[in-house]
Amino acid sequence: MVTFFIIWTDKGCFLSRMVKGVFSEDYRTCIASFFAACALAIYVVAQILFRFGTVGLSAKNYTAVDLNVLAEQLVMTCSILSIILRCNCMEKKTFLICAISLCVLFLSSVRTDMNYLSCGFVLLLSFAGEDFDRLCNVYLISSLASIAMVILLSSLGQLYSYDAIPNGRLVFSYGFNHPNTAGALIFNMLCAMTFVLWNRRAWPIACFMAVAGCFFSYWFLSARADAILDTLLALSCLIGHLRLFRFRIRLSKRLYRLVLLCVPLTLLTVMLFASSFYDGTNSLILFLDKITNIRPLHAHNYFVRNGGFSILGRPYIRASYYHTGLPFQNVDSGYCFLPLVYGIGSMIVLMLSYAVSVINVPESKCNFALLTIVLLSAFLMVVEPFGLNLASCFPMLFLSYAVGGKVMRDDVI
Amino acid sequence: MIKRNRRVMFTRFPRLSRYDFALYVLSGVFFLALLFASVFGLRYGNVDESVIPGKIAFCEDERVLSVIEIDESMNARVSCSWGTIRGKLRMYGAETDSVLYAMEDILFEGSVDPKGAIVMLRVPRTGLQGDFVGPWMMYYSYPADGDVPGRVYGDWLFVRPDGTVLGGGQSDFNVMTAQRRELEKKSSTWTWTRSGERLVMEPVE
Repeated sequence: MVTFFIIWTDKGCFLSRMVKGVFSEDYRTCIASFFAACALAIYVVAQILFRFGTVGLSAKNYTAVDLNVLAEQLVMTCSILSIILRCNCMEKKTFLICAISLCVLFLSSVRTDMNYLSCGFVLLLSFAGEDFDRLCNVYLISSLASIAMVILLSSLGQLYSYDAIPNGRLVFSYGFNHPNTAGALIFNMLCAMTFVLWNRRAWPIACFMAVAGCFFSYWFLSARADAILDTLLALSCLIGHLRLFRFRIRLSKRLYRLVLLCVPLTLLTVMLFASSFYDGTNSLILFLDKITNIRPLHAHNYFVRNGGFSILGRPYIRASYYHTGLPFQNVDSGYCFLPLVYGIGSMIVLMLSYAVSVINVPESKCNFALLTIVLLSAFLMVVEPFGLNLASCFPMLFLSYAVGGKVMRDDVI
Repeated sequence: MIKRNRRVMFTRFPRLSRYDFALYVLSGVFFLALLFASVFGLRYGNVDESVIPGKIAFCEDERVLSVIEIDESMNARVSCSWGTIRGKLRMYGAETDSVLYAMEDILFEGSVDPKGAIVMLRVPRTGLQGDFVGPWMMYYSYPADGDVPGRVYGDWLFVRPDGTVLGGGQSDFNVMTAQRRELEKKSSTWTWTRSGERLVMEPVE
């Protein structure tokens, strides 16, 4: 709400006049970028260490302060400073839509008691007008460092390693809350690495890391979806750099928009129908059950037990407790998690942001890497609600095109 | 003579920027982390269930607190203050020094309906044939069902190689693994000796 108020007063010119009077435009943009980058880095590192990893659990022994909340407040401060300094970057229409979206997400966060979407959205607002490559660079370094640190510390016995038997085989989580979380984090980091190294001489490193990640996810995390997606990422890296007989992959913007808009929409529709009108005899739903390890069935059970989709969200009821012998019940699909927990309002907000960002992507950025990575992230959302955390790479950074719009830097140049 | 451009074997690479340097170093660290994690997984991911069979009785002085008996086909008989329970053990999780088993096909003494009951055992990785050192845990929960009141009972023992035992009872019982970490921070309350199949604990004055 503070952000909303600040943006409103910014339009109402007192704060913007004051800020403009003090700082010149270049200086303002520079500091705003700095704060946005700080916010992103702190957010990614804090989420990986304290929320997805067990560092927060161990840290509770040393400090009474909830490090996750502290980091979140720091991130919000940096974002708000960045938004103030970057005044008048948005058109009126965009501003109005952003304000309404923020209201809806805020209401949803109040009802569900989980403010990940609303915090992520404020962070997105601070990226308006920011250079996309720079955002990816910051994300890559922060996530690479934190993930490596958590895995290393847990293998050396310093962090607690949760055990799990997801597919009939005992695996550990290596410092994270669940093997699937570790797999999804590694996948998103590899996406960032592929994108950053795409036009550089060192692109085989990304390919090699993807293959290593694939082996690790399959054998040691039993996260089969992440393993498959890592393989596809490595393949796309190879294919995208192919220079056989003057053949190169070229994409037109229309094809780009078509694919990126239709595929996630189809997946979303399919998962929504599967969770609400689950029919055990339908062959498509049976096929989905088989390839995603009965996630539609779990989503349908949650739907039936908790009164269906909500408008503005309701608290997530965890019916499975760790190691108590109770049966596993979870909504493990991002597309089902959105309307069931965060509410249809938030779902519409995210859909609109995604659609606007697909439309706003400039021609120069429509390369094969971005297409593959966004598509693979969309497929990951079928089996993991991880993409909703907005601390993962491309769902968040890609959505920054929605708020920046025509003002993203490489358009200006 | 026309001088042709000489090709050298290694072309000159541009100087690395600070960001690129950090990226390559961190990628190396990440790969190293994956290797370490693989070693960890290979070492602790295999659970040798063949050494479990045997019998152990937990005694305080001469009073028998509980008895666990497991045979080769993982059929278990657990008897303690709440009665005797029979069932088949299935592996449910593991830590670096212990394995967690959940009991299936539970049968109670008498004709009590076992529906909804949960029985879990944590056994050190050396099993019942080992030296008894490690974390032992019994957890039992029976849901309330109208006339029949529900019960939750849990007991932890952490047997150390230096001859001391940490113990925790039902009031300490929360989430299983987190509770163990809390238990390990307490001071010991018993010393233990092994006599055959019995682990005898004597309170420390």
